[in-house]
Amino acid sequence: MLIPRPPAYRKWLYLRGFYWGFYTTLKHFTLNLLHLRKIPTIQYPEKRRERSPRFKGKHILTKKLDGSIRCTSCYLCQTACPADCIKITASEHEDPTVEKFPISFQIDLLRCVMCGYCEEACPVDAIRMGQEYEWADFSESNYIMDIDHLASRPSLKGGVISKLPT
Amino acid sequence: MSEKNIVQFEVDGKEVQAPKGENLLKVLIDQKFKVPYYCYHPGLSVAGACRMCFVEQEGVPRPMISCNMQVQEGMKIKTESENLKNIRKWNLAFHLINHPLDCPICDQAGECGLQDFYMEHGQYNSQMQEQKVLKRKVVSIGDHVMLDSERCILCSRCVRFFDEVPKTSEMAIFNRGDRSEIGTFLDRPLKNNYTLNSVNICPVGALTSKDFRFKKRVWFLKKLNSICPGCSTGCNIEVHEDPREKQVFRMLPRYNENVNGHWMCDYGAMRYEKINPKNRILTPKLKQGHELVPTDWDNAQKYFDDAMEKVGKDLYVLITPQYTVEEFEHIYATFTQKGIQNIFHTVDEKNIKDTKVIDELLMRNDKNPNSKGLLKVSAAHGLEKQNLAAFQKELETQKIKTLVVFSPADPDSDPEFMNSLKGIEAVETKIQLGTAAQYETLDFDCILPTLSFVEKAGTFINFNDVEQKIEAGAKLVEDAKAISEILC
Ligand code: SF4
Ligand code: SF4
Ligand code: SF4
Ligand code: SF4
Ligand code: FES
Repeated sequence: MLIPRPPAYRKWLYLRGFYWGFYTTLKHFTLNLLHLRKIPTIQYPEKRRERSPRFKGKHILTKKLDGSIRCTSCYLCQTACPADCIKITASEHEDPTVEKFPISFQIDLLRCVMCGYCEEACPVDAIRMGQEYEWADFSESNYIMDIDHLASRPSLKGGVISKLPT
Repeated sequence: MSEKNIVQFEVDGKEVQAPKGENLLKVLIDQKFKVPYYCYHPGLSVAGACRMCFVEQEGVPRPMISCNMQVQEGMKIKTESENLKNIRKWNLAFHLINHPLDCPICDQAGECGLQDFYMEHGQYNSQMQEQKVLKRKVVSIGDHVMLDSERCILCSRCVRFFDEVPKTSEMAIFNRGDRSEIGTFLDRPLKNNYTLNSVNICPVGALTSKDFRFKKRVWFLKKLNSICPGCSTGCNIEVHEDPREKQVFRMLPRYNENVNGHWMCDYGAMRYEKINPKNRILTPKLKQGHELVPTDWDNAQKYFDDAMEKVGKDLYVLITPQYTVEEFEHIYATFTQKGIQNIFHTVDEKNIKDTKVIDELLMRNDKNPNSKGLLKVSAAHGLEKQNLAAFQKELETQKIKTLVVFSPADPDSDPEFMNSLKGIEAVETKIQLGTAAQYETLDFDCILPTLSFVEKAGTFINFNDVEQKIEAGAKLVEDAKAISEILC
């Protein structure tokens, strides 16, 4: 097959785009360097941005007024979770009005995609997405959060109480 | 069936045929018309208690409950109309007046009649202002059943079940009006071999299984059609397993008119425990000194093959009737081809001649699912005379050098199995192929894990010579191998 070549001068047309880009970069560089305008960058971690209350950060298991875990282990969050990172083990509660409660509740933070479906699925406001997002660590196993971490880690200062009627 | 006994009628404009005198609701359910119902059960008498199954008939001014109608030639039935919609909706509202809505902690959620029909026919907001009537929760009635009388919709299925099927009449509805409560007399435990059926037929979560309680939500379970391995009746069952967790969680009866009807016994329903990894042989094992040491398949297979090679035609084989017909055929064919004739089976002829049921309904004396199959295959090879008694005689003569035992998959089927091998210590090389961890004893030099009945496809032949297929599900024990892979 015969492929017609473009005329030779076309080859040089890219230079126009090249100089234009170069100019833009230089412009922003000088403006920002000399602080000639307000830029959105902040000096993290000395300064931290304020997040909206519906930010989806590290999960929290809420508590009842008496301080026990709210979760009834209905498995709806585990069912809804697209990343398959929640693992619950239910057990019989000695109080027949409670009946069922989780003896173990794990979330694998490495698998979690922070979609918030679990929070959405929960019928009793037992799981919420919190505000924390800094969780760098050295070992993969540290990313599996157990029930104590989810409900009463130090940063929660005793835990979050949900006031919805049970 | 002759032409005369078939009637033809119309449902929602569609022509439907059914045997004369058939229950209308049964026909509607079988033909997949969407009629909600709670109290009707094809295996029980009609109660007309729930009032959910209303349909309209042309020429009849009022809607009627279809579970109490018989099909008639030329009748014109409507299952959908504005009026019926209203009836169903507000009827459901009545059922839910005192219902606790425990769905998050209720094991029935996902297969609950109230949930299903609410989504289909309800979808209203509650207009009740009164407090709900509270009743008793978490009442244990019997070894297998947990009662929550708040959730009960008083359909009386369980009452009729115990009246009509095991005929023990253990449950009843006490009191009247909104104080009506289901229960057993003075909370006495249910004592018969069919209590789990009441859990299965309860359309809501009022009766739940103690064993299955809180272990799994039902929507995670995969189902496969199988045959109960508990006895020679061969009830048709559905096995519910979670392939990712490698666990079977329950076994439910599956309808088969000719074998078990709608039911199965509690003993059978609990057989699933024996095939879960915690009761299984997990790896091949070889005896070293006074210990059984786990090893890999290459080693074990080599040991097995060498032992076969060494002994040649003098090999002794003992087979229990707990495997499929296909496996028996493979075992007999492979060994007889090598000229080995000392293949013994443990079918108890006295036991299989006794086909009377030994409990209220279904269970039979012979606790093996495939005794007939084993007899058939051994007879095909002319070896049916070599039974356990003959084998024990051979054991006593102490001339057995190498023995291969296909042990029972379910130790409860033959609690005396190890005792029947008296004198096995004298045998030089003893190899076991099996599944039950209970038989991981030092009586054997080499133990090879095989597949349980939910992991392989095959055929069981029941006491009545009915051949029934089992389906293969996910592998529960990673290291288990099919018999056809080990023997070749
Ligand atoms: S946020 Fe999404 S991915 Fe993470 S645990 Fe919840 S449902 Fe699963
Ligand atoms: S959805 Fe809520 S109540 Fe249900 S298991 Fe998850 S956290 Fe617990
Ligand atoms: S316990 Fe279940 S089967 Fe028995 S009457 Fe109540 S709802 Fe019906
Ligand atoms: S009667 Fe036999 S086959 Fe039927 S469920 Fe019981 S044990 Fe299984
Ligand atoms: S199914 Fe007809 S009244 Fe219950």
